[in-house]
Formats: sequence, structure tokens, C-alpha cells
Amino acid sequence: MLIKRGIAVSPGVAIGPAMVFGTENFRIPQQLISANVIDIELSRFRAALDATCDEITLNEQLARERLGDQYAAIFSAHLLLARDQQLVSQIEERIRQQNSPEFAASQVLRQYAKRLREIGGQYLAERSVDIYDLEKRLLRHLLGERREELSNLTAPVLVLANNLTPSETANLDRKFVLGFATEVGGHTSHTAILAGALEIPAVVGIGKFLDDVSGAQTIIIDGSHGVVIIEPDEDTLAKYRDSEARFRSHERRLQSLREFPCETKDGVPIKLMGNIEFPNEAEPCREKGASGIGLYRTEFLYLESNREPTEDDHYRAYCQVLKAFPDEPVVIRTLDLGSDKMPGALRAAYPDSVNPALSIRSIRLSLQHLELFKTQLRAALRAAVLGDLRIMFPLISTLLEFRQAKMVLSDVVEDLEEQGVPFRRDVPVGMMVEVPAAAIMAEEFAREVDFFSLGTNDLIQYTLAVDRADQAVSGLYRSGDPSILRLIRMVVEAAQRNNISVSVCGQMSSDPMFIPLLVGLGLRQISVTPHAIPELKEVIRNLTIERAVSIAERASSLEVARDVENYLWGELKKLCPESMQLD
Amino acid sequence: MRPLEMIARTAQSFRSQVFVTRGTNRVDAKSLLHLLTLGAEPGMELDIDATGDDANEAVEQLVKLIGSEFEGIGSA
Repeated sequence: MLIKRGIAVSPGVAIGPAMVFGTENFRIPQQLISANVIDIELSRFRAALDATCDEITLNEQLARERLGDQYAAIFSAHLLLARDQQLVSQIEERIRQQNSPEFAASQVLRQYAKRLREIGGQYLAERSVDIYDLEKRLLRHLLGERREELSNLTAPVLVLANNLTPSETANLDRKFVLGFATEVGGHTSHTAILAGALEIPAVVGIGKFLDDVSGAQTIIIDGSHGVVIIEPDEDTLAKYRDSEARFRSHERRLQSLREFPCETKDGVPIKLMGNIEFPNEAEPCREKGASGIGLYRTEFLYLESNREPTEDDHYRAYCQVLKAFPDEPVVIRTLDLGSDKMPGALRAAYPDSVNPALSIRSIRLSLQHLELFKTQLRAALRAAVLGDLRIMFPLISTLLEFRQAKMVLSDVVEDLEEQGVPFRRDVPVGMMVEVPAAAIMAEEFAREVDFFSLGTNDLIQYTLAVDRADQAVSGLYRSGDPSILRLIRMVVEAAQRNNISVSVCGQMSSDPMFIPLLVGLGLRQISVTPHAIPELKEVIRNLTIERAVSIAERASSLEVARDVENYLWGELKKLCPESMQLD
Repeated sequence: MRPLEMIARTAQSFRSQVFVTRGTNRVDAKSLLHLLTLGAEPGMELDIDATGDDANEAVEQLVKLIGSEFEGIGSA
């Protein structure tokens, strides 16, 4: 049994056979074989090995003819590895011990790959890549027609990978992919956000661990606590089977809340909306009980392909979301990328900046690249005909910046008018409040904008001067810091005085512990990760406004983040004793 | 061809069992994988031994190969 820790990004427990994505790419159907087929399996292995060697020999010949002897030498080394007597006899020995040939080959080869990498050096690292390549070839021949890749699975697996791109994640088949775990990634990575949306238990940022696991080994992914267990022992397995069942029944209970309105015990409605990134998240988000989209991140349009998205790409994506929410607000946030994640065409224009968080990003980027910005705004105004679309500018720091952005929007309105293209004119225009300067100037902003949305992730990062992704300081990132509470209060009060709506998005609002505080501070609209909606609804339905206000008062009187968070945690336990038993 | 590949191929041309030792680590000279796990680098001292009817020739050939610092690599 091997326990690995990472970052919990999507709750729940998944137990099942591993599929290692990236190196093997195929599902290894079984780990063990019965004693009476050992001879058959041995000859199946030898046949696959012969076929693999034939394939390498063919590649060697082709390389020699087309590229020359040096290149052919690469394949002759591969052949030497494939025909290595020590290797072959080790795999055959494992098959005699009733391992399936696929599992045996994968295990033995991975052990060598790992050993070589541990010895170190460029040369051995390259040879370990050769070994993975050999594994892939062997598996392809062993599995033949039965080969199952991620796109055509027929049995459940847990996907383990170095990294999954957002589109790979989005395309995971929820019927067969029970959970996934990756070596890289963080809390706010797109893959993490998507995992939550797909409701697949997931752990990311584990660090190197794929060398320690082969396909078909039993794995537990605990997405609530960020733990991955390889080959668990019987006790551990029993414990997790139990908690998996409890999690399921808890989910069912929460899902039954769907039928009830989202309001406090004393009947004050609280609008719970969803944060989404991909258009196909909209429908599941509605099923969770969201009353609108409070934050539609549009970055995927820029990151998915190497070309810049066209107006129609934007338009189609926005329409899909509006169709899922024809009568409810859909807040589109304009491009929010930074110099660390620049869309293809712009990457060359901005070489590495000293500090991406403080550099050209987000609205600053849009204002420097008006064509890019206008394309997005045109599509939004056109799509707005279909429903209650709203436009939100991210990272606004000064009034001037907001006015500039609105001016560009007016230009777009004029263009559309001249061209006679159907669009909606009275689209509300708001801003993210995520730069401390904007929070401090909230009163002035509130006179000019149609709505505020508190982006707590960046607000905390800039206020406390902490990058949460940086492990050296991530402990200093505290949502409960009194400075954050005070800024939120300022912004909410400014909105109330000027009669504009204010909501909060960001990871903080998805954490049930902060819900009583936020309601108590006066927030009536909260936008969250869709999968958190049922749980947060339960908190809201157990809460009265009076209680929320007193919780917010008490929390605001505390001097350090730790005390605030401990207090809020204690209050949450009192509010929802049933849910708390899960941990 | 890389030095370790030459050692493996040369060793494979004999009927005898051939071993390469670095420190306390003694491996099958016919197995490229095992030779790789020695983590051997130029300038390191390696011992060679063999058992079998052509053991003497095997050791002689390999010592010559390594001693020549793999001259003729690439032409083989």
C-alpha cells in the first residue's frame, strides 16, 4: 500500500482499477489470470513480443533508408531492450505467478524505468523514456483488437496522468471514469475546476507518482481529502467502501433539496448561481439548482486552440449557455488571461514578465488589443438577444479603466447599429471587484457600474500579497483575514447605498463555512462552483438573517484569520450537524 | 552504437555467462537493461568475469573493447 497526497479539487471517493494515461494509454483489463491458462498466456506474450520486435525492425529499416544509419541505431537499441533476456525472463516469471501478461510487462518495465530515472542523468532519463515506449508497443500488441483507449472505454477505471488538458478532462466519459488524479495542477487550474463540474472525485498536484503504479492495480482516490492510495490493504479498502457509500447517500439527500426554494429559514431568498468555464457545464449547473450563471469564464476559447477565437466561436458558446438559462442572468466575464497564460497570437508580443500577477493581464490586455476585445463584445451583445446576458470586466483598478472599457463597448454598439446586426442595447455592464484599489473606491465605482462581483481569489492575493499557488507562502493565504472581511463589507455597503446589485464569486463563496458570514454581510447573490450548490443551499435553509448578521458581527470583531475561521467553522457545525459528520 | 550496447552485443556473441561488476553491483553483461542500472560513466573502473567454454575469449574481447574506449563506434 502506497499513500500519496495532493490537492483535493473535487469531492467524493472513487475505488477501482487504474488506467495510466499518457504512457500506457490503454486500459489493462485484468491483473490476474487463472492457473490453467498460464501456458496460453505465456505464448500470447511471446507472440506479442515477436510482433513488437518485428515492428521495431521494420522501423529500423525505414529509418536507415530514409534518414541514415545514426537514426537506425536508435531502433537497434530498442530491439536490444525488447530482446533483453533478463527482462523477458522476469516478465515470464510473473506470468507463471498468474499475472496477466499486460500487467506483468507493465510492472516489470515500469520498475526498470523508475530505477534508471532514480540513478539520474540525461542519458538514463532518455533510456527510461525508451522503456515506456517499449511498454506501449507491447501493450498495443498484447491487447490487439480489445484495445481500449480513453475515448472507447467499456469498463470503469480511475485515470492517472501527469496532466490532463481541459478538453481531455471535459471529454472524460462519466460513465466509466470514476475519478482521476494528476501529477501537476493546482486548486484553480482549469482541470480542477472542470473536475468539480463533472462531479468526478479528483486529486491534482500529487507530484511524481506514475512510476509507482501500473494499469489494473487497485486505486483509491479520495477527492475530499486529497489522498490517492495505490494497492490499498483490506482494512483501508473496507473503510473507504464505507465512506464512499455514506458520501453517496449524503449527495442524494442534498439533491432532494432541489425541490425547495433557496431561501433562509425566515424566507429571504438568496440567489445561488454557478461559476462555469465551458458551455457544456451550463446544463448540469442548472440541474444542480443554480439560478443563473454568476461567472462565465471565457478563457477556454483562447486556450483551447492555437488560433484566435472568431466572433462566431464566442457567439455559439454564449448562445449555448443562454439556452440553458433563458430567463436567468448569465454574467460573461471578458478575457481574463495574464502574461503567464497568453493566447497564442499574443505570446510573442509579451516575453516573460517579471511578475505576471502585476503585469499585462485581463482588462489591461483587452484595452491594449482592441480588436480582440471588440470581437468578444460584439458576440456578447449579439447573443444577449436570447436572454439576460450581462457583461463584466475583470481586474478593474481605476475608474478611468472602467470608462475606457465602456467606451470600447459603445464603439461596438455603434458598429453593430450601422451594420444592422441584431443585438441588445441595454445589456447591464458590471465589474469584478478584485483589486484592493477598486474595493477602496467602491463608492465612486458604484455610481457608474450596473453591478459588482467580488472576485475573492484575486482580492485575497492582492490584499495579503500572497500567491496561493506558491507553496512557500500558501499558508498565508487566508480567506478569513479581517482585512478581507472589511473590504467585502465596504463593497457591499457601497452597492446598497447606490442601489446596484452585488454578488460574490471565487473559491471562498463555495466553502460552506463562509456562507453565514457572507449573508450576514448583506450579500444576497452568491456565485459558486456548481457542485457546491446543494450543500450551500442546505446551509442557507438552516440559517436566519438575524443569526447570519450576528455571525458576521462577531467574525468582524476578531483580529486574526485563524480566530475568524475557527469561529465560522464552529458556527457551521452548529448549523448543519448532519453534513459535518462526513468528515 | 552506444558503449553499453556494444558491451551487450559483444557479450551476447559468446556462449559463456559474462558479468560486469561495478563496486558491489554485478550484472549480466548480455542484458542492456542491467548494464544501464550500473550507472557507469567514462573513467569508472569495471570488473569483468565469465564462466563457460569460451570464458577466456569473452573476457579478453570485452577488456579490449572497453580498453580501446570503444574505438570504431558507429562503424559497427
